[in-house]
Amino acid sequence: MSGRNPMHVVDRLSPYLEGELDRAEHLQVEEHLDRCARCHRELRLLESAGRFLEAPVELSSEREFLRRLDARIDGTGAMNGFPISPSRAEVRDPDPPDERAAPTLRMKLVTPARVAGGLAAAAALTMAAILVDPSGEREAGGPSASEPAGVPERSGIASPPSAIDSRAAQLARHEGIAPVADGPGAASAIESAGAPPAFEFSGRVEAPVRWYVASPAPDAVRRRLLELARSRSGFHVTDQDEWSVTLSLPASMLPSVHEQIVAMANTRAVRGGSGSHGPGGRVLLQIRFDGDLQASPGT
Amino acid sequence: MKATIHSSFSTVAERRTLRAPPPIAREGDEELLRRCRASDRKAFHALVVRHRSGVFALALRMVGRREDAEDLTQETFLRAFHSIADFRGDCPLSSWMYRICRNLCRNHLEWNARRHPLAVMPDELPSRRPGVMELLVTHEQRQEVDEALSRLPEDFREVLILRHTHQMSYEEMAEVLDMPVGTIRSRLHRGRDQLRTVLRPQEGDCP
Repeated sequence: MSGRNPMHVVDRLSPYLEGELDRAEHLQVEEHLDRCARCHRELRLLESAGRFLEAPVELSSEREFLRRLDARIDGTGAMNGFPISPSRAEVRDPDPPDERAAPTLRMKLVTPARVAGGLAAAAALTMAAILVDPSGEREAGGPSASEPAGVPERSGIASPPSAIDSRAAQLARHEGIAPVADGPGAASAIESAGAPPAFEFSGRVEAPVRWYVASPAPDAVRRRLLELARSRSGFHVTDQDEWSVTLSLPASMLPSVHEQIVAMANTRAVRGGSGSHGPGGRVLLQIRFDGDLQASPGT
Repeated sequence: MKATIHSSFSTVAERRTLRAPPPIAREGDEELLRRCRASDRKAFHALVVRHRSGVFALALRMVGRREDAEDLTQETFLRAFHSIADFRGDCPLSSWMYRICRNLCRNHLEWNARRHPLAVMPDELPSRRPGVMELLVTHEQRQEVDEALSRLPEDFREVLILRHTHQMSYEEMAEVLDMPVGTIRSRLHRGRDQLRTVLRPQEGDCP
């Protein structure tokens, strides 16, 4: 403490603001504030920060919030990439994170080649789904963290059609929009892909991964996406609609990163959308793997 | 026939209620709770509308991302809905909901820290530019406060949020956070000190 002004009062500013100092101390602090510009600035800084915290927050649409909540209560709604299961509340001690951690990464993809001409309208938006399946219940139709997404460039693995189809329908119900792969022939085209193996990734991912918006998005959505991309270390924004990142992480973490991007993008798109930016009013994100992923057959 | 049924099974007061239910917005939490327990979804909606702002503000300032905060708010009310029969009424309903929300936020932050290596962690945040001396009124400056808040330990962050955003007394905060008032007071002061330190560059000691 040598060299420190003994009259310095910054460590008493909080009790001072709360009115917790006794009269003598209170006066002492006030006198110091009158003649110490730096302490006075510190006080103003705290007051300003407090005012910021007191500012009201901007809420989303009440009707939409209640609609989503009702859908979840009634068992038809899924969370957008959120890891919390909607099980019965443990009010004082919600599910410990450990129980939700370490999901099995199961990657299911539909390649453009496997999706036949019936998907003409949606051919450019071929989708992939990355499913996080911590307990098996999510895939069985429960709320899921995953969203439909893009196209594998090098490692295309067809998915069980029913899973993709039901996910699209589930999302459609939840979001009140048309399924991504709807339209004449869509279901049959997916069915024609046959019953492919599901794959599980293990080890580490060492690959550049690129997300990009596959359909026009409103400026507000783009801005938000860019903010998200820029807020993450390791991401490189290559242009308005595309970001890339070189990942080096346990494979099990890939879907959670992906989920956040996709869920946020699609949530924003749906909220702000009027159907003018992609099928069903969705912004579809495709995910590309420009490197070789170590994959091994799973169940 | 209807009149007969009413006269047989309803009191005058009940009939009046049936004919002209009071505006739901004017009902207190207790009455709405009673109706919720009777599976009245509209009453639950009224509670959600009444408390959403506070729950969302807590979530938003705890986790920092609107999308996550929105999901956490949904989850809070979902859990409240399923547990409403268990609510004992020994504290205000809002405190109970904030407690659910706070626990969910802490779980979420812990989960996020483990599973999202790319997430911006407090230590990775760029250091604040020097020179925030004046009132923090601009958007950019508000963002700096937001960032500073996110760099505080959760123990301090939640106390600051409840004190400033929710204007809670020490006793109310103690109820939500389930800890002694003395601990609340201590965390509030230490939190403010840290917030001030994060917001301001190190400029040496006061002359």
